[in-house]
Amino acid sequence: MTSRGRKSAEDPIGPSAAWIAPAALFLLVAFVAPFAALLRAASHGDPGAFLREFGGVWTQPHTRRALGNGLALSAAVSIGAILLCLPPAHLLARARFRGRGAARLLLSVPLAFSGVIVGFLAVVMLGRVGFVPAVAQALFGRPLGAGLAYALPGLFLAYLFFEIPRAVLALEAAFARLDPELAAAARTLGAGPVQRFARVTLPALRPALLATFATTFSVSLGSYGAALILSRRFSVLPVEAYQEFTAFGNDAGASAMAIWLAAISIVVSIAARRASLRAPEGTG
Amino acid sequence: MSARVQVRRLSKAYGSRPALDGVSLTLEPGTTTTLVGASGSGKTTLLRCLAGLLVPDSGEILFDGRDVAAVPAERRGVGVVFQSYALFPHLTVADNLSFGLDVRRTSASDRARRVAELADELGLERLLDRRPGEISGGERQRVALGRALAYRPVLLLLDEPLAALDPNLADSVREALARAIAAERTTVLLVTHDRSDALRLGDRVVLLRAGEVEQEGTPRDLYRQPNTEYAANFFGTGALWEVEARAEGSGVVAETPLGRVALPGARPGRLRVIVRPEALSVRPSGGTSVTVRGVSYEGDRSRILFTAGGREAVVHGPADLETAPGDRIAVTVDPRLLVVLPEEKASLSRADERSQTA
Amino acid sequence: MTGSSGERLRSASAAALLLLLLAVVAAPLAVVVAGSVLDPRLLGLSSESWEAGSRHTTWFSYVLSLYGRHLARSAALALCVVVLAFALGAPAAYGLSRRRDAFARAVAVLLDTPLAVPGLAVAIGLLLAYPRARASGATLAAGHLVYALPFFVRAAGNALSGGNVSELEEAAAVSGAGRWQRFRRIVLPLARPGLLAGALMAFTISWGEFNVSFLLSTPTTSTFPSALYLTYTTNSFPVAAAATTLFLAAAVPALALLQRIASPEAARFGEAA
Repeated sequence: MTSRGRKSAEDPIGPSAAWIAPAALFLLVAFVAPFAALLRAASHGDPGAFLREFGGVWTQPHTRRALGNGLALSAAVSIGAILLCLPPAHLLARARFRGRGAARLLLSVPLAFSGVIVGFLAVVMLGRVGFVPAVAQALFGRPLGAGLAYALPGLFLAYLFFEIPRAVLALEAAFARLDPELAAAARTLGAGPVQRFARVTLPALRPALLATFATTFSVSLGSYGAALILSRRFSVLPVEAYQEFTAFGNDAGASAMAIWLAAISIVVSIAARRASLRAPEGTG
Repeated sequence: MSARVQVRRLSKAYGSRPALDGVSLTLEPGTTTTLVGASGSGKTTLLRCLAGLLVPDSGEILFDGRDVAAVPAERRGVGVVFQSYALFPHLTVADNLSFGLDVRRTSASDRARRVAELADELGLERLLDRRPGEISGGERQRVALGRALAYRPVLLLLDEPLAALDPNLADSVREALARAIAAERTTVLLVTHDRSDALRLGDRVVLLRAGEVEQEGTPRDLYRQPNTEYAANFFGTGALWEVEARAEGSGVVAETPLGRVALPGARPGRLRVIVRPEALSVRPSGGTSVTVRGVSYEGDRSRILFTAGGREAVVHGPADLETAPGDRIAVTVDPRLLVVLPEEKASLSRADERSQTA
Repeated sequence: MTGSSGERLRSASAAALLLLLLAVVAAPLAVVVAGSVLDPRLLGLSSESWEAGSRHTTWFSYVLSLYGRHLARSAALALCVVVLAFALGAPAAYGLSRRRDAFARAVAVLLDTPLAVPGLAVAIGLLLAYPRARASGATLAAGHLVYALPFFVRAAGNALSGGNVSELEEAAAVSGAGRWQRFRRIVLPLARPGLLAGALMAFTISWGEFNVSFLLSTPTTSTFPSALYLTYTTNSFPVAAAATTLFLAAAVPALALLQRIASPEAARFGEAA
């Protein structure tokens, strides 16, 4: 399987590069080559055409609006999910209570969902004849929240639902890695709860917060199932790309939009990683 | 079954830091050699090269005259007892013991026989169905030894086999180890940082220092006739006194702060003598009167630091010796237990290494 | 005293927030599962209730008659993805956990990159690169695997990088075990919890995948999440609810098992899903 000559002198019995090769080859075929095909399609083999298509996503009002919608929605949802999930994640990581496993399982269920299911759940709960309006009608005599699913708040809630498990599980793991002695030490030094959180816990959590933001942002930006179900007027870029590709056969335009989405997500991930590398070493 | 192992001019560097620097030594078939040295002296590097777990930069390793450079670890037939034991946590004690036979496709009946034999030899009969996580440290050590012996290795390598055990347990394990090694009659190289283990367990002792062989020989050689101050201090601390020796009659006599001492076999001239505590004794009377500088109580004895003629040395006295700094006591010297160092190249005594063994 | 009462207040509000999150997740699931068996009018939903007809005694059997093929295809595809993730990912995790050379580092980065790339981009790329492979479902499987493989490798790698696997492998080597025996007898058993976690993640990802599948699938290869989209857009609420319940019936046990064997792995699933 391996040539003896290439074995490492420090680890002669360790695995050779051949063990990694099949996975590498697969990624080359199933990821790198398709990505190259995207670039090729967007450029028709002409760098000038690529810049036109790529720039066109920004200059055309409807795609720019869709991109802006997605960016704003993804950023808002990511920040919202992190803020909402921080205290429960801390509780799951530190407190010992009955049903903790069940609570964590329930919170992780949306991980398996596609955006489409989330969109459906939003319709079920907040549609024109949704469950919440029905309950409200029975209780208060008014169908509160009816049709909310199809408006911007509904889309926001649907995406938030989608990101809850990602945020809560990642933050729980981050809290679990956190050395509790750190806060205890700060306490003996006279730091109050706010100071402890702001000056000890938060800096130590910074890498995890950035990584969680990058993940939830990327997932929200690229997901289109929920928007497909919920939104007719409020479009996001993946939906535009999907329609360009399937309805209009515009390979170049769809590819340019896909590249936009991929580029933004990759840049956000790299930026988050860079920023967290600069963060102080807070954990023990 | 046991191999004659020759190591010739073996060198290995990690980056620019040499770990082994031209080491040569020979392990005779069926003998036990202890490889001793301070941490970082290259002991484990040499062991890993012998096992095939590390590829040396230069030099050769011969098993019965055959170069093993191209033989991978799994075909060298070497047994290794790792310092951490490295027992397979997912296998029972019995499966750990028979692992080497299993991968050699030994028949089930032969395997069972050998496992039973080893279990009996090492007192593991009642642990065979347990997993490594469920047995004690001393038991794990015996399983590791059994696993390495099971396929009758041509060479058995032990990496600090006693270091992970607490001192009370180490004594009994040391004896069991010596018994098992004797019963298996294989060539053994035992790596240790413990000077007394090195002397007790080896037929021969190799002292490594900064990747080079400082001295090798029988335990008695290394203790009684160290070639260097480093070797002398490694195996037993003592004071270094420079004395003047003259030929007198048929022998040689040196003037020491403890009086005139005959040094049979020494050459006249300026000599360097290591004065270890066991060469000295406290006497109620007679001997040389010396000044006590410090006393520490060690339970079974007391340790007394004294000065005589401006030189310091340590002597062990009875535990109940009532003495205090400033007192004067009488000390005699046994010339046979003094160590006379051969002339040493000045470059060898480097302060940093002396401090490692202090 | 103020400190401890402040603390109690803080943990009480954290608990309240946790309960709120649980309610937000549980309520729609409960309504949907209930809706698949109850008369939707009991839930105050959908007035134009659909008649099941004589052939179908439950919504479930109706869903199965409509989308049974999708369900079977999804199950087959998910198993296929698990097998491929294992075949490619277990050796890769082993190699990546031990090698520090430039190639290994490059592959490690490449492996994680798809996680930052939207499924739609990968799907369009696969269609453009291999237009004729679409009908066979090969690009569909590849698209799923691109997203499943990083999780599988990470889970298996975590099991291998902790502890003293390399030393155990050395012990196996000197005992006479060759490379393949070491992998089979030492590395794989020690990685087992990680491999199992990775397999469950790969299954869950494939089972729920929509972003890649919707574009890549043809009528003959389309999967159950695509069928869910059809039920949501064309069928009435009880049918959609029953289909969603069927979806949950496989996803929830997989997640529960994942949590049971390896909650740290499950947490990492959340970190980069």
